[in-house]
Amino acid sequence: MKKYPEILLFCVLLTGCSSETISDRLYTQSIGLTCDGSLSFYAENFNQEISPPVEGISIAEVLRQEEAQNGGKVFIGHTELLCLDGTCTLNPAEELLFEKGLSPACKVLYARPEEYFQNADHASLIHIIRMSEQNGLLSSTELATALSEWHGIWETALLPVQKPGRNMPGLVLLHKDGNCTDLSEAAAQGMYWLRRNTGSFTMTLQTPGGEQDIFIRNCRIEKQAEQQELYYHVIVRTGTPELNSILQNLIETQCQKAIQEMFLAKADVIGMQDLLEKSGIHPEKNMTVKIHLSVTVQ
Amino acid sequence: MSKIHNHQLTAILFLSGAWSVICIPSLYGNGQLPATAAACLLQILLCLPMLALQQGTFGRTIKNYKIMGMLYIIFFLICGANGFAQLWEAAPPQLLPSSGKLTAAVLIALTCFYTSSAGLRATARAAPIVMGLFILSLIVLILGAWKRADLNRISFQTENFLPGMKIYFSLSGELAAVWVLADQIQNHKNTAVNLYLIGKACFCLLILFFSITAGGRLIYLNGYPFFTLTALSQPLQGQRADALYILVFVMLHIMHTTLQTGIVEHIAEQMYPIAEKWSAPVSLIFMLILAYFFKSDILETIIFYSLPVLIFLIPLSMRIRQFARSLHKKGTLYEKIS
Repeated sequence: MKKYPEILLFCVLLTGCSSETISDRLYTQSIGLTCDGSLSFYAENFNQEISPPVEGISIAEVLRQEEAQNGGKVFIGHTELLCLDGTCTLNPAEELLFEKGLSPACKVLYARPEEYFQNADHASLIHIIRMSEQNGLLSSTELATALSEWHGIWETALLPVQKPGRNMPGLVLLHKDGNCTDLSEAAAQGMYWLRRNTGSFTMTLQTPGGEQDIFIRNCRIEKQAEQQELYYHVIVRTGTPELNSILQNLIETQCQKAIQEMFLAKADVIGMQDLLEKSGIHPEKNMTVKIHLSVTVQ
Repeated sequence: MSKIHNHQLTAILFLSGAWSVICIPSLYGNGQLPATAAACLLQILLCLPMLALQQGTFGRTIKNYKIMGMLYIIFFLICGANGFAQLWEAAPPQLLPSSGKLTAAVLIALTCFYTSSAGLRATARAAPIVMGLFILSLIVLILGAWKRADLNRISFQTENFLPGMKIYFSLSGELAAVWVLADQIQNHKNTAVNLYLIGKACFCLLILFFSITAGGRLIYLNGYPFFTLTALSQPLQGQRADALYILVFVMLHIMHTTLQTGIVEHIAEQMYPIAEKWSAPVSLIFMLILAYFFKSDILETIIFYSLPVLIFLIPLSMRIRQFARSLHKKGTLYEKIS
């Protein structure tokens, strides 16, 4: 009996109840950063309300200013989209991820926040990116993956970008110096096959007899390294065997295009560095690497 | 004290060891995986003389040789202090979001004061419950990390093998507690201790494996692989797992500190029965003072060098003495009979 008050107090403490209400917090859905001289922070909440941008010299300061402006604590843990341009690159993203609790699955969009936060419909863009990734139209790009690529030898990250006049997002390679290289549509599609294993989806193929749908059961990528020669084997399982040869040609073309454009941009977004390190080679930026590609559709 | 069960012993030692594992300061690469496995095997071998000792040897020894008891007390105080130093240095902002490190350390110290006042038996009883929560959060961590794991990042390497072993050894202070605690249980103490050693090594290997495969280069940039992994491992898109990690983080620290405090209390009580009431708060204060003045790397170096003496050399000398005595007894008996 004597212990009951202590247990009760402990249980009350465990509930996490406090005087803070949900309106005391600003839950951001999209945030944007630019670094023209000072750091500018843009935010949009889940009600699609965009707050005026705030400026400061550090992430902590802009977050404090955003809190003062909104009258609530900024919580970026549920943020779905981070918008960055060539001025900021991915430099502030690491602090946001590891110190401010930004979600590792957050999408990083390459765009100028000052323009983007005025015109775009963020909620629908986030859904478009997610669905494009699920339907095999866009290679998966997340904050954690982008940061890992960014800290590689070739210091480049693959990010989605909204291209003018197109509903579907494309892909760019963002370099450490702030420059970016646009990937062609075929190369962007090739990245989809080369970067990671994927699940099932249906895609449309152009055949001599017209457009036909093909069901992709899964796509698996096997990688191997022998000295500076890398072997990438894309294995795709389909549910429509009669279209396999057409698909194989298409995937080969797209992957070759992706590798070609990636080499031209001096980038690595397909895990070359990990493969080289695994085979005991310490990769250097100017190293010549040869990729042998093979595609099996079954 | 006499009612600590085997599974409770395994759980309490494992949880204390798990705290040290989550505070591993840096990752040296793939070579750390075989280094951890080798360190675990070596620890099992080093524990053999300790486990071969007769029941109650530790209690009898410290009563006769108080200096040895003091040596163990100092060691456990350093282990406890190392826990606070690790809390101070390792805790990332997202795991102690609103309170800050100082407030957290004070609150945890107060909780440890309460738990250690209940005694080691109560802590041992609580250990399997905390273990359940720990396993749940481990499953969540694995589910989140598995999505990001790239097996191409794993390769067999022997680079940095020795630093990897040193890290594992310097974070195994609770090994010395094996002798004190295993002394108190009746049967199957070897099974319990071996389970703890293998379980801790498996947990450490699991964290290192997912740090390498899921964390990639980010792990090497930030240090503290476990905390980087928690930031990267969010299995549900609309729900964050931070609360679970915070709970486990705090509970593991409490279990770690309570174990050290409880053991200091137990040793002091056996040496000086009058010390029963004040040894727990005094030891906690000492731990906090030591943690304030020394960084964790200094404390870990002390642990690393003193551990082989405390878990191997002293028990081995005791075992040799016991063996020599039994030979002597047999000899006397043989003389009498003949």
